[in-house]
Amino acid sequence: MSTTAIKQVPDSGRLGLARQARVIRRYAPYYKRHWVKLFLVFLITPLVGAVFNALLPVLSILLIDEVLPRGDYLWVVLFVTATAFGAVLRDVNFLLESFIRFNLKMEVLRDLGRDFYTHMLKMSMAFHTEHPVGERIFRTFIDTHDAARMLGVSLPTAAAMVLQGLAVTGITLFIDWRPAVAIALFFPPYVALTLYLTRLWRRFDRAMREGRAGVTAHLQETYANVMVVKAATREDDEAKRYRTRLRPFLRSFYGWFVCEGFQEGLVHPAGLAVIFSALMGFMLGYLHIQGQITLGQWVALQGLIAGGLIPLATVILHYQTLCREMVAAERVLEVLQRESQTPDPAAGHRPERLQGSIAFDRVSFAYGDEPPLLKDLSFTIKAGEHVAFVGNSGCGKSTLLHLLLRFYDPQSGAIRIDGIDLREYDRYRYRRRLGVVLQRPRLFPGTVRENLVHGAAHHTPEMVERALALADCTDFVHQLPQGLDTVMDEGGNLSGGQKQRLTLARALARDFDILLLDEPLASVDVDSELRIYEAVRRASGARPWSTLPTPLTPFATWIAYSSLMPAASRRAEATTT
Amino acid sequence: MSSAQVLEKDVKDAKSAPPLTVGRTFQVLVRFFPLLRPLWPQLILLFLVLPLAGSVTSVVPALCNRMIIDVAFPRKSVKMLAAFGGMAVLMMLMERLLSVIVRNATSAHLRTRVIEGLGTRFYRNMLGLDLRYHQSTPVGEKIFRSDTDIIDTAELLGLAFPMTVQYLCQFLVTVLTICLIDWRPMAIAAACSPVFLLVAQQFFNYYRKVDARQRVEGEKLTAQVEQSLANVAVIYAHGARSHSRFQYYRALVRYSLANMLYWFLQQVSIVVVWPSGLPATMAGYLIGLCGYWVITGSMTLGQWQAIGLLIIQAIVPLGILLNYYQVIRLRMVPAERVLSLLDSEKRIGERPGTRPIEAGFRGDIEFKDVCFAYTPEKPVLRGVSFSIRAGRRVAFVGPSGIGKSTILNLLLRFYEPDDGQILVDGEDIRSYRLADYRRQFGIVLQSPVIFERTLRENILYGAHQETPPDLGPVIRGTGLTGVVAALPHGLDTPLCGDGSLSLGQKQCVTVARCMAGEPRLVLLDEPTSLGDPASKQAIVEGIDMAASGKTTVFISHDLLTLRNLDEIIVLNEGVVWERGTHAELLARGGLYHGLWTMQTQRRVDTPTPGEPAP
Ligand SMILES: Nc1ncnc2c1ncn2[C@@H]1O[C@H](COP(=O)(O)OP(=O)(O)OP(=O)(O)O)[C@@H](O)[C@H]1O
Ligand SMILES: Nc1ncnc2c1ncn2[C@@H]1O[C@H](COP(=O)(O)OP(=O)(O)OP(=O)(O)O)[C@@H](O)[C@H]1O
Ligand SMILES: [Mg+2]
Ligand SMILES: [Mg+2]
Repeated sequence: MSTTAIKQVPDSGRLGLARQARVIRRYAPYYKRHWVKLFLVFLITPLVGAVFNALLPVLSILLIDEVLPRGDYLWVVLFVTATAFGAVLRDVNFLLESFIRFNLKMEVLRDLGRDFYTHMLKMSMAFHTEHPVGERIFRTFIDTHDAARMLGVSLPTAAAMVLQGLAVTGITLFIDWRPAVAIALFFPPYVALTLYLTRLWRRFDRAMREGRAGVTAHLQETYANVMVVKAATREDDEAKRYRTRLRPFLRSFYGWFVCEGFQEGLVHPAGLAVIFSALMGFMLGYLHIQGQITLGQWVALQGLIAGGLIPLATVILHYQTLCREMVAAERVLEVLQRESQTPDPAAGHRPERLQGSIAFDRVSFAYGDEPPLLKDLSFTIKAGEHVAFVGNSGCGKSTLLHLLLRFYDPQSGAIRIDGIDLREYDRYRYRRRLGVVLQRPRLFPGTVRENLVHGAAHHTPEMVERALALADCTDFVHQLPQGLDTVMDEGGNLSGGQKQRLTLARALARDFDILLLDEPLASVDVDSELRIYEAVRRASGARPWSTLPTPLTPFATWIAYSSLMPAASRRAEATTT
Repeated sequence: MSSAQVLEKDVKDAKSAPPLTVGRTFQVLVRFFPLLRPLWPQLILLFLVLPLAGSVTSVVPALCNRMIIDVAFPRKSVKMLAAFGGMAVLMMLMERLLSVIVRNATSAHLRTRVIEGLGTRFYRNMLGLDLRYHQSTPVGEKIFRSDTDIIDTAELLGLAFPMTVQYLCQFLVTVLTICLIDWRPMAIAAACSPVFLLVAQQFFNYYRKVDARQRVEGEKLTAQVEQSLANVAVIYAHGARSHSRFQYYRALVRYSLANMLYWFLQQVSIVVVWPSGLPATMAGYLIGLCGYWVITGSMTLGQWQAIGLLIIQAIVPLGILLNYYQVIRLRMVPAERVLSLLDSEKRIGERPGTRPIEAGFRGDIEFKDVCFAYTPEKPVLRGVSFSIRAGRRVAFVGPSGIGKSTILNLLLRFYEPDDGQILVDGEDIRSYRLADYRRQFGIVLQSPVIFERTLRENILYGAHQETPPDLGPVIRGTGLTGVVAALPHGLDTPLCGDGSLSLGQKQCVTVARCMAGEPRLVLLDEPTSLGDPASKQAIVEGIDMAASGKTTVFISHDLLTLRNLDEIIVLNEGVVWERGTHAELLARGGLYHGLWTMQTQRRVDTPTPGEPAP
């Protein structure tokens, strides 16, 4: 459907160490500010934890081998107390560690979320039109959250586990080398199984995310347009459609939890590692029966084998979780790594004001890989001129305006504002110098006032009132229950014409240098149309404005492009029919 | 009610929720039972077989261990060692297989079925709710509810309840086994447990509040993201990126804080109730005490080891149990929310005694003194009466915001009139079955909506015929021939909701959608507002052709398109102001005459080409 859609890396679920490192390197900047926390959470708390984790079993071994046979209950009490105390300290350390991890996650989520959102708002409009709203919501909300969890929690946890696992296993092997045999026997097949499972799981995870994003997209689309669904009595069909869209999601949901079951059942240290240790233990029982080792030695050896296997198995468990969670991080990167098709210049031109002259110099433009819509289009509009573009529906009037707004960049040629290429402007600064009415009137849920001053840098109550008056909104706005402070809901609780007039007021409430209007009066009645037109013309005075009004409205008196159809783009005489 | 108010209300709901009793939990379960009934094999597995098997398989290894130490070793019997050892390993494997892998798979399966069944019903009901609800609830919030609430309810039914049963079983069996070996440790543990439970209770109360907060912030964040991504063009056009980013960041900061607290508390709960931490410390003392009994000779070494293992084994299910008890308490909130929405079915659905429409309408429309207000302070219609005979083409004209679209909204039963009566074919419209009723109409709404589907699906959206109609005439009639030809895959090109077509072309598609349904009554709300003169003409002619002989209601500001209609009704100040044919109204010299002069006058006023810009 689209050439620019987010690249779906064909994912077999395989995740090489190199790819993993690449992903994590891309996220390194999010760690930078938090080096103290990182230091604590990657080094200090794991070390402390490792010491306690190693110490506590040693205490129990001593208890069994040394203290109990001595039969001195004072020592027993002492030992048990020491063990309990150690456990409490370990827990305090654990809580501290968790707190830092989740705090880190929070910080990363904020930074990552902001960057992600900013990046999305930097993309060309093509990006937005090609991805359903619901899908973008899912990436912004769920994927960034999971990526932040990976960075803040899973990665430090896995790292800590490596440290602790190696330490505990090392100590165990130092006490007695024999468990190494068990480790050598156990790990190769165990790791192979885990890696296979991880691959499978990652595939399900990705599919589940895609499925759920699709479901979200369906929900968003039908909830936002529920009136059409109802009018066409399509509720039942939409419900059926919803069910079919749920299916792929649910299939991967099921696969995901089966994988989780295998992880918890087998990969988890309480699974294969414990069972294998028990098996080895019982086999060693033979030695005891043969009289080669004492009972105490047997119990200790059992503990040692478990002590050698379990920490390593824990490492692998966390590694697996990490690999799975990396799917979200990769999905976030897919967006972050996409260059905007309308890139920002290194140091954009930041004008205080615009004069307002507009020049199109042999501009060609096409949507995606469709045939060009505008071909070698050239014209100039002098500062202060009022210009209308007219033409058949679908000939590219709105497209022209979108190019002027830099929603898209032309494939060839240049658009110059005040003689400077549009691509050299700081986009946001430039856009703030415009007053714009887009063709489809859209208001945000919120108060009328919030809508009127949407994003405007400076505005005064007078400006707002004046804009309302200009756009013939004063009457109905003041009739609203709370006037300007009435909260407009999802449906906008206004009539079509009122909404449109309000969007016009929104454009006029700004301190603009160029006015771009795309059919601003299409659903306004003749009466207001006349009033608005007169008012705007008087108010804008000598200020430049380019309008793209209703085709062939009698006011389209100025330079008119009769048609911008491909190949027919030429400067035409001013025409009004 | 604004979204913020709605959300605040939810926080209050969550806080003031009546205390969770076993009775209420049970009621909820019973309510969901019809949904679960077909899944009885899974239910039996989850609630009966697996808990029992899990309990048995989890105590046997410890007992085997004991037998090895107390029986096999003293007798130096390799056979017994092999038998008990083999038994223990086998049981451990079984335990993993049944209690974890099979249980997980069964539970996941159950949950997928619940999500599918319940989710679809929930969604269907959501769509069925009246427009007032939809307009006052942010889309993002509805998404969050249909998505997260349903998945969480499935978790309650498919995971939390079975897990609770499984671990309760396991816990009880383990405790029983310990008591059978030696009753003393359990007596001590029982004496200590009230303190422990009290601490846990207090902690979980707080945890539940934090969870509710987290949910609300999540909803707000979703709503924020939804509204800005759905309107991203406006944000771009205003250069309002930093403004929008600020709003997003504010919501994100609040959400991330609540989220952090939530997860941190989960870790705390691990320390408070899970195997490590508090209970483990208690268990440590217990095991130590048992060690003392071993020394004094009132317990064997084998018993001591078995009890040690079993105590640890009792703590694990206890921790999980408490955790799931907590999950149940948390998930009851979404579950009850889902139920309350499902219950509202009665409110918005059919009233009893409505009749299906078999033959299709003739098309007489009559409004009798209809009064209506969206909000009580501001009446829109104050006694509108008119009648339209079948097959006539009538236009509504009047200033913007006077209530023209409202009349269509009432006619379609999106809202009910406060007073008066609306009749179609001589019967009150409330006596017809809603779905049948709406299908009689072909509608073009004021703002064109395109779904992210193929062009064909978009056009057929309004068609309910058994066999899809031939789209050729419809496409020609709405001037879409060129558009279809230009699309890469013609009618089967998938469209993007916001792109792909120009707005005027989208409007043509909605007109085509209206006609493809072969409706009995045609309602057109500004169907030509965005077209160029040529396509306006094409659409008007197309409508004339397709709608010939059908009752047609036309709303337009462009009076030129209305000249040839049978009747024009002028609305003003909430009532029918004038009515008549174009010529009659002009002759009358009233409001219509004024509007008409204005519209035609300005053509005369048109400055001549080439004149400098004023
Ligand atoms: N959902 C709503 N909630 C509250 N008030 C509403 C709602 N929709 C419309 N209104 C109000 O009801 C009045 C009539 O609206 P309606 O949409 O019927 O006007 P209209 O005649 O179709 O106007 P237009 O020509 O501008 O489309 C308006 O004043 C509007 O503010
Ligand atoms: N996002 C898009 N992707 C692909 N094609 C598009 C996209 N937007 C518009 N088009 C196509 O580009 C052409 C010009 O569209 P544009 O919206 O500029 O027309 P317009 O002149 O404003 O028409 P109208 O008067 O109907 O608003 C149309 O044929 C349309 O199909
Ligand atoms: Mg346009
Ligand atoms: Mg209207």
